[in-house]
Amino acid sequence: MRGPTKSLVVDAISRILIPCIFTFAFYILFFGHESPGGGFQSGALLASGVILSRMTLPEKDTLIIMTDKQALRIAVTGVLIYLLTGLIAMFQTGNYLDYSKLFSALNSSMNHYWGIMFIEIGVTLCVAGTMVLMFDILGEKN
Amino acid sequence: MKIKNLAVLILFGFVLIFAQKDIPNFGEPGPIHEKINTVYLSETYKKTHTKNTITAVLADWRGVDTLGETMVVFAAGLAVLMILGAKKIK
Repeated sequence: MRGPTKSLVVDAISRILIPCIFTFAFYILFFGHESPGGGFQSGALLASGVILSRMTLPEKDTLIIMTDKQALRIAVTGVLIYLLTGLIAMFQTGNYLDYSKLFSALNSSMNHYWGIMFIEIGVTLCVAGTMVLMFDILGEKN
Repeated sequence: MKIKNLAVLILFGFVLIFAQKDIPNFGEPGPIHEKINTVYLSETYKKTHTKNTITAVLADWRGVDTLGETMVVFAAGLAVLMILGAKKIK
């Protein structure tokens, strides 16, 4: 039950490393409000974890994380989250992508926090899905 | 045709030399450092309540720009899909 590299060491190390990469990607995403980081970096890290699993793990184990069709859907979902955040802000009597009146129940500070968080999640999903999709298409073997 | 191209080239060169006067000297602050930059640094926390100025500029002041960047990334993925992998993913 080894991956394409046929090496037990690579298999075991990548099984330890991939959850750490995902955890760091989520840390960068959710702490990007106060420290360096943000959507693009976190999306690249998520995609690098999936691509590492594609290169080292057997096919049965790597397709559990994300298949190529799911990668396309995730990318579309990210763009739609971004667009919908702007539209919600517009329906709450603000401008497009103006977060200060995003949810009427929250104050202005938390509105900006959640607005930035939503669009960063959208950017993350779009970048991760696109990179995994490109890797799967370009590395297709037939 | 060659002469016309040469004339356009020389004219464009004169335009560039003429515009070069307005570039600030090397190492000196230009208009972007004196007008826009100070506004971002002083107004960001008051208006967006975000401690990280870079995230605030990226996602809040210039949200539509980041939307365009995201869609460019997605369009690149779609282009790769349509050119190389259209028969694989249906």
